[in-house]
Amino acid sequence: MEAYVASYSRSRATYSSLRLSVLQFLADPQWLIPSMIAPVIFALVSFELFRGAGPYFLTYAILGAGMMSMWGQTLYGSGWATGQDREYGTLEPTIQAPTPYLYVVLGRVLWNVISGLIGGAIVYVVILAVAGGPPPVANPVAFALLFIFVMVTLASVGVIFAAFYVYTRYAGFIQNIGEFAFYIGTGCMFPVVLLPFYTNPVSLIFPPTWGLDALRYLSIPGYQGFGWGYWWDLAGAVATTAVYLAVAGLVFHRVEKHVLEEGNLAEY
Amino acid sequence: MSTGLRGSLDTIMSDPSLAIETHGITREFRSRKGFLFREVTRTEALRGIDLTVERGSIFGLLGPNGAGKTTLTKILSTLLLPTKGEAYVLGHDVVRDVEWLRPRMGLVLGGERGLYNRINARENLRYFADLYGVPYSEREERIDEVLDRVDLDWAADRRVEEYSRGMKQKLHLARGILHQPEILFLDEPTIGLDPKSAREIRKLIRSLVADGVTIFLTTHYMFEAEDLCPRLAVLSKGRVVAQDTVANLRHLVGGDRTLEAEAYGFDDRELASLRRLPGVSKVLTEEFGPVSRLTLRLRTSETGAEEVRSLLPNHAELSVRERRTSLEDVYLDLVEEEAP
Amino acid sequence: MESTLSSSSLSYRPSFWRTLWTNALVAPRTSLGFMRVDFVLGTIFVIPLTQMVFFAFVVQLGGGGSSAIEFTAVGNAVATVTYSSVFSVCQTTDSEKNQGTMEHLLVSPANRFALYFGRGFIPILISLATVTVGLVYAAVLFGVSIPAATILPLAVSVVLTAFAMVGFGLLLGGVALYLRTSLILGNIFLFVGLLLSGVNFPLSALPIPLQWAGDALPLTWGLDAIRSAISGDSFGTVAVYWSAVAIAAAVSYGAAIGLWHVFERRALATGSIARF
Repeated sequence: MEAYVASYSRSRATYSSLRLSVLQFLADPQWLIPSMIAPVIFALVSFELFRGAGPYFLTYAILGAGMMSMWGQTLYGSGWATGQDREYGTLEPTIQAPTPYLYVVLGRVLWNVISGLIGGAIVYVVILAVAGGPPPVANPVAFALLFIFVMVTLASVGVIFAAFYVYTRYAGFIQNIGEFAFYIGTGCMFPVVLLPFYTNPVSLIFPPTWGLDALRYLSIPGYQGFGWGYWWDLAGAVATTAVYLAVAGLVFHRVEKHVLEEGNLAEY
Repeated sequence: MSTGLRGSLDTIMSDPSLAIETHGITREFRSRKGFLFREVTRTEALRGIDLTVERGSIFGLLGPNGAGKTTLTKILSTLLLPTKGEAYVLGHDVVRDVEWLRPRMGLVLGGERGLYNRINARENLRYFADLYGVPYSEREERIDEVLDRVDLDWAADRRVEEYSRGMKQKLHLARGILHQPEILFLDEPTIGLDPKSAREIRKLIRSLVADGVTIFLTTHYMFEAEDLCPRLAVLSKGRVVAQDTVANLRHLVGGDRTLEAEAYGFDDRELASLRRLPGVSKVLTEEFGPVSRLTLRLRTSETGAEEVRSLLPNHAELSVRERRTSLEDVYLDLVEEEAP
Repeated sequence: MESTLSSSSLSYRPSFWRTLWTNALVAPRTSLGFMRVDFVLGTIFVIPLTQMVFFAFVVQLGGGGSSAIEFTAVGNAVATVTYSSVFSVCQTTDSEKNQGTMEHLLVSPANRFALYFGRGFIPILISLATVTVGLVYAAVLFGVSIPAATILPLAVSVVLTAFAMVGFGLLLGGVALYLRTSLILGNIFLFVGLLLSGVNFPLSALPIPLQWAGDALPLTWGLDAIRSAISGDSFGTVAVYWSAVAIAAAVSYGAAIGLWHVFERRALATGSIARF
């Protein structure tokens, strides 16, 4: 009997992991409720809070609420799925499989990007319904494309977060404690430039910071942001995202080595 | 391909005819307690394990709870790194050659966890078939085959959360053999199974060996170990206390034959005289309420039930019976010797 | 060897207070979040601060002045109690199911009220600490004025709110016996609280039906009581809010008792105890 050695592929593992995520979601559709309610709540809160933000308050509201919804889904959902692997006891057999765990995580991140985009769409619809009309956006196609790219920047951070969940069973609690700090630091609901200047370098480590600033440049006339303009923001988003994705493999390799040394894979 | 060569003074080579080879495997666990002043507790789960397992054989690992069986199994299956020492599986280092090894090994840890409960068995197997690279063209057929082999084909489309414990155990096994591994690590594979299912699993294990798969099995069921494993090792407190065929292990603990004598108490003089009988290697005593039992291990055939009766004339209620030294006797003798 | 069993099989029956006390001390420690002191401290000291800073900046960007920032600071200081009350109670229940210990609890003869409500003891303490720390942040960092004369009514308001929120958490936790997980409800009410409880803007800004929905939440009345106390309202005015919070707490605990009983029976009938 010969083992199936040569025919496993990373892309297949990613697709299979995406499929598993969808199946598990459909098997337990209860989670649909908070997934849909959260964006609606964020949209309404955002709409109310940004009323006094000037003529472009709708754009601020949509961006803010949309990002809150997607941050949660994409960023934290990716890590939380690995936490579930720990709870189910499936982390051990999955890590023991020949496919590097990173590619399994990528499948889950992809699912979370998709469900995050759905959340963003819900925010858009709710705010339009409340406001009675779409906000003015100069270039809707570019806006939409950049919106999707911002999701990719989120996903790149989500992959690293997932590594954290492999590293320790306490990742969820650390994530909960740091959740709002991360929202603040990446400019989720408001531009990072409102924060003290000495915190800006920390914010710029994260790809979503650049992406979101670029999105505001594109959609809010007269927006200043960091001051270096839309194209530098876009370049920064692309560069930082590339770095995160490039180091993801190394991070997972080191994390896996650590957990095999510690022997805590079965802990939950 | 790794040959296990080291640039150190002690060069260790992996023997390609062996499926498993370990040299001085040690594993220490650290646990931390406290907040400001953290107290670190070190537990040595394995203390210098040397083991060899031939290719294409079934090897059994016995030991009490906490002896280190699962720890050793996880090290050999690349789920845990050893603190010290070296281990080779199929001629490859379990630390350095993980990528080469994982497609070729299967691991069955069993238990209630380790499966995706909210989806059915078939979807669970599809997922792992993808992770192990079972070709698409063969995947469904292979899934049907393994489900049939573990007698779960009738429940393949039911959610795993609806499965009984035994069914989950079988599904674990199905996953372990899905990708046709060359070596299979089984951690108590028949636990929770009814006798019929357990017998079927043992039959499956034999058929896998007939197909050339090496089986590394841990179990608490002595009859299962005796039935399946030509060679086995006994682990106790992180050390291998014996490693050999069952027949040789019987000799190790004092002989193939065992005589048991029961009566209401034996005095020291009687015990001393029994120990002096020819061929008696060991005399063990146990108390069961008012009844005492003496267990004599016999290396030769010179001493029998009559000789024992003749030395215990004052016990009208005496009963003596002879039997073959069982693996359970071997196990208990070896493990109790290690006890404080 | 003589058996230690007495002739009566009913000789071992746990007392109510013993069950309550044991669950108060043991149950939270079975949940991962309470296994480490640093997480508890993070919940008490970090979450309120970051949540308050977050919404303060949002309000500032939205054109809100200092009074709006103070309003949101107090609101979020109190809203963070949701983590230590609702979430942690739901998590304890879910943790029992995940670990397979829920069945063993339900098969025991322990008094159900003591079994379930002992679990709220530590979350109440942590909720109190969280809100207190949040209000200190509100005073020190966000300019909220808390005169000395208001400390006592404020303390009463905080205690009542913590009790009420834990009761609400127990109510949701009971649903976990029947559903796969109560964390779904915990998540929902975490978000809902932000909108409907007057955390970031007055309830009056919402349409009437949503205001009614907000009035059904203990957090709404708790916030009203706390804001009223801070504002230095008369005893009579604050006492009205205390009554409302107390009623919300009583309804939560009462409904929780009923729900746990109902859902325990449903779970036993459907076998959903073991599903998570």
